[in-house]
Amino acid sequence: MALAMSNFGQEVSLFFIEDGVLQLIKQQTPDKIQHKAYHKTFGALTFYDIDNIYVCQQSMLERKLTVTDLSIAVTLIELGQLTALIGEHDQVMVF
Amino acid sequence: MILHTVSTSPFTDQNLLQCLKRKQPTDKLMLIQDAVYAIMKADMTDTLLTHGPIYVLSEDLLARGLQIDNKLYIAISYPEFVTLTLECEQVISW
Repeated sequence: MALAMSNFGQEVSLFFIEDGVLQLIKQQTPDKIQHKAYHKTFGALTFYDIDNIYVCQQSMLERKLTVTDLSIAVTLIELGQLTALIGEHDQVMVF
Repeated sequence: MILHTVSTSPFTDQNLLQCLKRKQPTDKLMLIQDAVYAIMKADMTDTLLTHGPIYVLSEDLLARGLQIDNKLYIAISYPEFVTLTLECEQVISW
């Protein structure tokens, strides 16, 4: 969805919160449980000019994760910053 | 002896905690699918210490890029999981 939106010239930001941050863990091997390796598509985001990738610091701490555990470069944000940032966007979709 | 299997993330719902409240000390606990994320949750590991050892399906750990860093958790394969179900009289899926 994010890639499609960017193709149509929209400025896209992605926010990863709660268990959503787990999608970004590197060295996943989803073929072990017959799942699609869609985590590999995160690497394509930058080629689609999607550089605003925000990850909730609190959600990372709760899961004992640091940025070095993630497969792509992200911007960490505090819990309170999320509300302000979402407010700057015209449309918000939750997955 | 009952084998309790939990399959959902403890960050998302209460299934694991609700299971712990109702399990006997002699019962066994196995984490599968998104429940394997419990190994990342510090306060959950503290709670599980009194219920150990906890079995975790290794395929589900590998698929999610996770590694066990506590002796409380024992990673087991699908065949070992099957053996565990045979050792227990009942299996309850939470």
